[in-house]
Amino acid sequence: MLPSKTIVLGLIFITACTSIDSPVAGETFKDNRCWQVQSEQRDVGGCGVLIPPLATMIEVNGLVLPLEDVGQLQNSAFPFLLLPKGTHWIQFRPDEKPVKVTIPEHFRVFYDRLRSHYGLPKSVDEDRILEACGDALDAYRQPFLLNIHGAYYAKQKKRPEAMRKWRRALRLNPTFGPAHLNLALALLAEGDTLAGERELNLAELFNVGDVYAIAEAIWNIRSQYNLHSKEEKKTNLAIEDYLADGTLSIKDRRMVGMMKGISKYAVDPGERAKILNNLAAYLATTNKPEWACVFFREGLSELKANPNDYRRLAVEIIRHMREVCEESEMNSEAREYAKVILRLRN
Amino acid sequence: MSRSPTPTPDRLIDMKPIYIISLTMLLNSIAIASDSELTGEYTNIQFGRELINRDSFPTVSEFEEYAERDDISLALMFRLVESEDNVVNPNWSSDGKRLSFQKVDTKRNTSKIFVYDHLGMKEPTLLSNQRRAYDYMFRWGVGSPSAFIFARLGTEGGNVKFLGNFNTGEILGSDSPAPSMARDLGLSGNLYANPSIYVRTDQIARIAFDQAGKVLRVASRIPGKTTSAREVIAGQTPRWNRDGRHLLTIERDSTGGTTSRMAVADISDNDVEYFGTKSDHARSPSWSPDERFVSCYVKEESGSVKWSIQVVPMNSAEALSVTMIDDDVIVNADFTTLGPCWNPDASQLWYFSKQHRDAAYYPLVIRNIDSGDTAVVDYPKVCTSPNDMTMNPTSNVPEIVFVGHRDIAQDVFILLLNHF
Repeated sequence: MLPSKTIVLGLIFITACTSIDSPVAGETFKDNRCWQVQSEQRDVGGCGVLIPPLATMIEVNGLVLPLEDVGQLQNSAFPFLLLPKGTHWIQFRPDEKPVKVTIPEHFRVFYDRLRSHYGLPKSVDEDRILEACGDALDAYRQPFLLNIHGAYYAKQKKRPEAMRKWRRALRLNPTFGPAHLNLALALLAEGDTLAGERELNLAELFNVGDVYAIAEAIWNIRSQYNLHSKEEKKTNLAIEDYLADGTLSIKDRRMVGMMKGISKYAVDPGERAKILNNLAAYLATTNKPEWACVFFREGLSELKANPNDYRRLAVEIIRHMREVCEESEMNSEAREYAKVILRLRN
Repeated sequence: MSRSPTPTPDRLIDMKPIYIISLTMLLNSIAIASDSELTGEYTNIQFGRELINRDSFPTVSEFEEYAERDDISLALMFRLVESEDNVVNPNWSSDGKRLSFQKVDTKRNTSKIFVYDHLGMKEPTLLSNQRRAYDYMFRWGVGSPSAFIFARLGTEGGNVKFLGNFNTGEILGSDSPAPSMARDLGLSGNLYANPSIYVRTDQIARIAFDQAGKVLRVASRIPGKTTSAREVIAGQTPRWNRDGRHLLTIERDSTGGTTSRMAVADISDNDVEYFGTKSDHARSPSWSPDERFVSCYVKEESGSVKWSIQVVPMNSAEALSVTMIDDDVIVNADFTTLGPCWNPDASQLWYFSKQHRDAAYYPLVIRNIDSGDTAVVDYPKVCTSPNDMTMNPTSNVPEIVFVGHRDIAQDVFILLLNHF
């Protein structure tokens, strides 16, 4: 269970943003809308820049982010750096020139509306979160909703569930500072100072220009845990650590290589989803439920473009995921998926 | 999840109420359930491609059998492209998510580029259907998985111009007479060839090519103008590395001889280093994926006219460091291929070889770079004259594309093996 101190600190982040705007009439806050914000399409609210495959550094307005092994960001689904409103000069390689990026809107204005929509700061409306989860077939492309879902579990004093959500958010986009901050709080509360400080450092280094309005919260946590570093050193981002199942065996890696490799050639999206479901079913037998869920969700993502055509299959795959979670004592997730199945059937 | 011979009662109850059709499918699945089927596994996958030498898609148990084998062996083979025309030069994008190839109509003397923008597409996109244009020498960009460049022999006199997508957006459809993302570099003159494109993170594209025995380069802002061409080195077939500063080329003997060898030019200071031994013919240079080695095909006039692969470590230009693979390697004689095929961690070279053939059948040959050991991997004996082998650069198991004759025309096949 989370100690009350952590909850309070968690609320520091949750309430740290600027004054909350009312939701704009008709604005939705599901995966598709969030995806637009996490894109380079400025006309639909894109608030940052995609980190290119050959980036070896991230320099924003002349300051290099102290991140070790920038190339590792490419191991995530969407390495997208959110930036505050204004014009920035971003450089990704030391021998190349900075690129001008102009952000028309503050990300945190959108994020405040998003949080307000889901009930924050007082509570988290889980029904709305699960509605968005079902709408996205739990195959999110952005970290925002998972971060809020993690906050829901934090408020329920369910730390392992909360941490799984935040880690999942960071596997999607490892530059999302609020999820690093929340994970840092949870790790520090568990007494894992080393990992907690690393997450805190990552929250700070990706909080470019206080884009997430979490600078004060970070400072407060550093003070509370006496984590003020005297020398600035680079922080390592270990994305593989965000899966609790750990690394795969040689046989598992071969299975993933073959089945994921071949799945992409199947002509029908439903058949691609079935092959990935089968890979997930295999990984579930090797006691790797989180890895299994990764591939269940990859299968579901194949169905997202035409959800009505594949609703029955999507429900089946989510049910398989629910069964794996039940067998692995990930009961909260199993309960979520049971609710999502009900929604999809209705 | 566990293995179960039949679906559980819970599954039956879950699936029954909504769709009658789902009950029918469920009964089918009960009929084919076996002891080895996983709970939640879908059998009877409809792959949508022509599987070679098997009727159905492998089950999880079959994949497990492949994964447990010590030897490198085939998991699945299928035909990706069946064509009445000859198909050549399949080519992966750097993220392994896209595949291009060239289709040649020798009767009409036309050539077109086709692209799978994602590999689940039933049919690939025709990049440009401009009628009498001869499009060829397609190359994906280094640094951007969706950037590309290709050469076009026009209808108005044989000039070659380069067209390409230098952005990072999606490739567009095939209906337009020329793809809207294609940009013409506007170079004047004749006989430009063998383009290679590097897309910098600051939205500048560097393009190298050869013309009349010289390697030239230009830079093009995205969007914006193109600089005038600068000479890099006397040679041909330039290939960018991942830092965008080094060009691997085949250098021609500057003393008037006819021999050639690999050269790497540093464009920042015009420094040139030479690699390997001189040969009567050297062609199709390629970097190893980790860029610790350079390689190319070589052949001597005086000998048995067999193609070999020359491999040289980048940290030494010593002749003694050259590894020669003298296995009578099959090289596409008619088209400019990508060069020797490396596995993603650069420990192995893969090729077809006349030395290892069995009548009209050519198995895969793997050469371990460190040990020098050679292994042979079989696949169904369904096609002849295989060549143009390339490997998906991001796959965790060998995912190989090659062209070969199954009937009269040359088609594209995919091989998926169990491990490296």
